[in-house]
Amino acid sequence: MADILVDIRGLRKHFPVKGSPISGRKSAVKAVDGVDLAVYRGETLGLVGESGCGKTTLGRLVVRLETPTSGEILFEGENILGYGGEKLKAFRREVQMIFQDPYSSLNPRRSAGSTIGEPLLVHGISAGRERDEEAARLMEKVGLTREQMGRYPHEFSGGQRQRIGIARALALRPKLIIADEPVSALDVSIQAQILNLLRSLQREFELTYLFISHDLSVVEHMSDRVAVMYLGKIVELAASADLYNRPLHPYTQALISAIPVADPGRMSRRLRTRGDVPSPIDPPAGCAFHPRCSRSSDACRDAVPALVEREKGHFVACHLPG
Amino acid sequence: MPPILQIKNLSTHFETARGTVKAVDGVDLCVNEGDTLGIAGESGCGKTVLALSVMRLVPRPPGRIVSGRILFEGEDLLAFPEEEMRRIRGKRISMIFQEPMSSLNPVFRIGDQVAETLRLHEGLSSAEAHHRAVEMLRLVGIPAPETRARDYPHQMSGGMRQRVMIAMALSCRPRLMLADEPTTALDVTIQAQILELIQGLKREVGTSVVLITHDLGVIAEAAQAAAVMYAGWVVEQGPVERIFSSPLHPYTVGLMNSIPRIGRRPAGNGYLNVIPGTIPNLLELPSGCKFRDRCARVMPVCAEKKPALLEKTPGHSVRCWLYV
Repeated sequence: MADILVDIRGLRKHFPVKGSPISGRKSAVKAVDGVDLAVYRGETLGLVGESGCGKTTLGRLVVRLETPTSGEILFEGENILGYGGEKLKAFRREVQMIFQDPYSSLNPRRSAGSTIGEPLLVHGISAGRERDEEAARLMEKVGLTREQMGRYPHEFSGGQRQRIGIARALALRPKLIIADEPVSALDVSIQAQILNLLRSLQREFELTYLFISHDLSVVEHMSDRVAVMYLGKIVELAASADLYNRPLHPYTQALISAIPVADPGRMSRRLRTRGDVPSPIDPPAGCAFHPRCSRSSDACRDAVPALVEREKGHFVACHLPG
Repeated sequence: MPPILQIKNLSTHFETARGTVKAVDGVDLCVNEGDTLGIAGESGCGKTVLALSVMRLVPRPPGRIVSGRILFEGEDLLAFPEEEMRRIRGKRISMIFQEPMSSLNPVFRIGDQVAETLRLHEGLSSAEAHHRAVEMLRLVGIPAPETRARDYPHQMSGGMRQRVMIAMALSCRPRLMLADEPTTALDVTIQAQILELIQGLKREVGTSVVLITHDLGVIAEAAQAAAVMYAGWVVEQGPVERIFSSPLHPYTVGLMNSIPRIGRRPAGNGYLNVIPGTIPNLLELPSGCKFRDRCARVMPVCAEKKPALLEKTPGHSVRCWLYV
């Protein structure tokens, strides 16, 4: 079996919020609340969930843009949380991020070429003409032209800006790329182009992707395995085909049935979820999904279900799976 | 039955420093009584400006409806004085917007905002209007509506705010509702709830709906008729089954192929079939057919003359030289 590139163990990230002025009780947003997850070398691991489920925070923890409250992140077997100075800098070369919003993730006062070449400069890999040449090569790799190097972000369309963001992430030849909603801000026809680009770059550079998205169709298209998050926890994890053909967690089932299908002949049988996603400050006791679940029992109200392997490679955190 | 809304040769232009943007460029559309017409298209295709034109809410300047007719229940909305239009908006035609946070007033309680519509258009007293507003909030599925009516918009979730918008839009039982990306800002489970709600209320109130979205899946599930827009043109329109089962225009076909579908991995190497190029700049459109520089089936005639929207089979029209 493939070897593990990133091993996340018992990871928690709690953001403290201002306590009540009367009782003085302090509380916290439990954005990531006990996540165990392994990312295999060369795979695309999809991470899906609705807003506020903690998927973005999880991605940011892995690149160390956030410091976890507790837990471990092993990258190629070493705990990156102890890293500092040169070791941290070396780690950052291995792991890069692509952001959702191609408008706010580029510096408007820097040309495309300078944005893409910046990581090479920071990490002392190349400078001067050599750096420019590498930036030009990267531009061509992502479907832009070297003549566009001197242009500024406002001169590019949304899809082209996302290409610049991708080229910047590629510059250091990382092993892992965290793509956080990389196509959500793009139009349908442009979205397809970027998905194809990510796929061909993965093949060419042997990249591993952690692909974060709220769009289940896009995640299915891109991923080898998919993890579903709900209120800071992984509730189901399986090979992409298994997860979509036979989801075991009622939340996954509801999510999949809620996707509008571009086929008017097919009447979808919709599983209802009641109400909204609860606040991650004070999540429901027991299984966090139980107030919205169609089959909750007493056990669901009392005990937090553990993520267990029900079938080969198919993990689910539910008292009543199936 | 006559169509409830008929748009004929509508053009809405915007004057900019760099030239005239033809946001809506000669659009013909028709919404049948009781139907939902889905309008699909990418950014800048003119779908929102089209809806704003029907409401006569195009900001002027820089925008201007330069030609065409918008027949609503047989009467031309463009011929009405502004005062008459104000009586129609919110009462006979209503609109819901993509971002419910910016369309609700943050300093008024939501119950009062729904009640305002009722007081203005139905002439109800404050107490009656409040009572009806609470009933509307109950109808759109807001739990404990008596209490929630006293909430301010920031105290509600995105899905709840969109329900408030729908309550407001339907409070006067309009004949037509224009919904501009009503579920785009919402999570998928909440989107499903809102789409079901719109369809249920549509049956109950008897409202016809124009549903504008970039999501073809939403149209397939919620609409009876569909129109696809590109750079200010309607390039194809017809019954929703026809548009999805046998799309004609190369742009429609390209859009359908661009969306990843669950359980249907693209054959071979796993790449999606994409439309090349980018969303067009409306100031630098090609001559002839506006789609030709991205079209895989382009012919010499496409550069010379603009195609017209022609009916190919009954009710199914396409604007493309391939079908002339």
